[in-house]
Formats: sequence, structure tokens, C-alpha cells
Amino acid sequence: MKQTKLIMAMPITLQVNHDQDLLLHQTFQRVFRYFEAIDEKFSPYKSRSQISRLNQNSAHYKPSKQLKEILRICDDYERKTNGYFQINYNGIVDPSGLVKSYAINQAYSIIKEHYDDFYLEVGGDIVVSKPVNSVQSWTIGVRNPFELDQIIKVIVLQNGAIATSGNYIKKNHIFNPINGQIVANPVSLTVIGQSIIEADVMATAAFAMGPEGINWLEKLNGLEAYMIESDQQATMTSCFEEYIK
Amino acid sequence: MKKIVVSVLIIAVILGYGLLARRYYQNNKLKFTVPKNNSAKSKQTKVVVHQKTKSVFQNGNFIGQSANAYWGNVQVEAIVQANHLSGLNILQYPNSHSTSVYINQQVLPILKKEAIQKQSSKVQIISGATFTSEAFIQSLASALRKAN
Repeated sequence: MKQTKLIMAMPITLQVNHDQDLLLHQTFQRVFRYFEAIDEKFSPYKSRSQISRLNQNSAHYKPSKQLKEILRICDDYERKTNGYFQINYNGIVDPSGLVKSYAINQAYSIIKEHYDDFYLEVGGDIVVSKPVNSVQSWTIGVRNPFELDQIIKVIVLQNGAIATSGNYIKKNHIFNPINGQIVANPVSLTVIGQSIIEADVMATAAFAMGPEGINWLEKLNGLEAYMIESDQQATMTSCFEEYIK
Repeated sequence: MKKIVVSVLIIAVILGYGLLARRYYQNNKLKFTVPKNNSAKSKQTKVVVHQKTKSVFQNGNFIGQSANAYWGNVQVEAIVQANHLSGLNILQYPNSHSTSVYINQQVLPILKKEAIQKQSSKVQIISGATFTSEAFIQSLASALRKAN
């Protein structure tokens, strides 16, 4: 069973390979409702969301347990990325960059309670699962940033997460928080990891570092990456090819 | 003085790498390849020997000789993956001077590059920069136009 819904201004697709029964329908409903709830709570565009209220009155606003957890994870990653992952811009706190992968991670756990053959894709970020000892893998295409209907790399993955950062769809939404400039190069950076939070945050941070970001990713354990630059040349980390078809 | 130390070390690392690369180039002029056997019936495996003009490295990690680099010994390890030099490890370096330590931290792996190429679009999922609902609807509309 496969469904796509537009939530948080993004297409969200869930596919679970299993006979259709009541539990499966309930699981799809739970997952989509979870994303709707997260959007209500943490969207910076909704005036009653926790993020908007935090920014309206940061001195007196008491963050919920969940918001505290999100802010704590952001803090950890700000340190791990030497400030290249930032949620504070000009005095405004916007953890949207983490809320998305945090929600994917939670939704993954909801599905995993009952199923182990599925994928969940939220606006280009992906988690996949295959049963233990399965001989099958999921095939994931990396979008060509210069020709959006083309695939330029095929990744095979049984269990794990893939995130891609780029400025080619939402124009110029990633900038270097250290110097405040829009990142013009690379144009696309795909990261494979075990956790979607890790893959997504590290892709964003490394993207903000510019073409040097891939060298930084190379030094990190458990992550592989594929970077595309404006001259249409790609650079990959040393074990990336293990995931290539 | 610092500048001299920096220059000497950079030259030593480049020389070390050059020597190592030359040695493997000389040792690996002959490349053996086993062609993929697509026919299940044939049990024979052919071994083809190519005389290569370009250097082809054997996969593995190769440790170079320790060389005196004036302020201390330098030794490098070359990492060869998919017959390409994919990285260098500095095993020994003069570490009594802060500049030497700084240079060692700057040594970066050589990562594989390629020109991007269109692949088969037969994939189950697509990863890309944050796809918005708007982009999704546009893409869906164009797909439906093609289907008509």
C-alpha cells in the first residue's frame, strides 16, 4: 500500500509492503496525523505554533518537553558541526531544519512497531527498511539538480536514511551561518547514514561549508556522501560506491 | 622560520607521495582483469592481460618508507580503492612543533570524482533537495500531460 499526502508544504509518501488490513490502514492514518500534529506544533508559519510563541515572548515562554528535546538536539548538532548547523538567525529561533527529520524519525518508529518492509519519503528525505535476511533492497535515485526529471545516481539500500541538501528547488534557502552568505556551490549534496536526523543535519551543515564540506563528511564515521558542483562534476566519499547499483 | 618549516614539510609530503606513486606505477604496469562471465553455461574463465600505459594501482593500503624531513621522520600510507588513490594517512610526522601538527591536520583525502550522467529512471524512490508541494504539483501536472 502506498499513499502520498501534502503536509508541511511537502509531499509525504509512505509505502508499506504488506497485505491491506485494518492495522495497515490505521498505521497510515497515524503516520499522516503525526506529521499534521508536528506541523501545527512547530511550523514557524503558524502564529499559534510553539515556535511562533517562543519567538514572540522568548523570555517567558515555557517550552514543552518535546520542544525542549528538539532544541537540545539542535544544540548538540550546532556543536558537532562547529556552528554550521544553526537555528538562530537574527534573534529568531527556527528549528524547522531539524523538525522535519525529527518527525521522520518518530514516524519511522511508529511504522516499525508493526512492519519492516517499507519506505517513507518526506520532501526528498528518505528512510527505508527491509526485513532482516532479506535479499531485496530499495533503489533510490539522486535527482539531477540541473534537470529535475532526471536521475544521475542509483543508490541501493536495505536499512537506513538518505537526505539531500540543495538550493535548486527552494531557491537560496541554505546559507553559510558563519559568514551569512548564500551557498552557490555545491548545488546538491546527498548523505547516506543510519539515522535520518544525522544524515539530514550533516548534509545541511556540510552544504553550508561549500565544496570543502565533503572532506569534512569523509572524516565522520557512518556517513557517505555524493556532492554535485556547479560544473556538473560529482565528488564522493571513499565508501559511497558500496551503495551504488 | 615558520615559513621554512612549513615549506620543508609540504615538499617532504609531496616527495613521499610522488615516490610512492612512482613505485606502484612501476610495479603495476600489467593489469589482470577477469571479464564478467554472462553466460551461465560456459564454465571457462578467461584471464586477459592488458598492457596499460596509464597507471593502475592495486587495491589495498601501502606503507611508504620512513623519510627524514629535517625536523623529524615522515611516513605515509597510501589507500588505494577501485584502483585509484583514495587517501593518504600520515603515519609518522614531526610533532614537536606546532606548525608540523597544524600541517598534518590539513592533509585531506583525495576523493573520487566523476562527471554526472543520466541513469535509468527505474527507481522506487527519489532523493533531492526539499521538494515543495508546489514543485510536486507542477511535476505531477507535467507527468499527466505526458501520459495524455
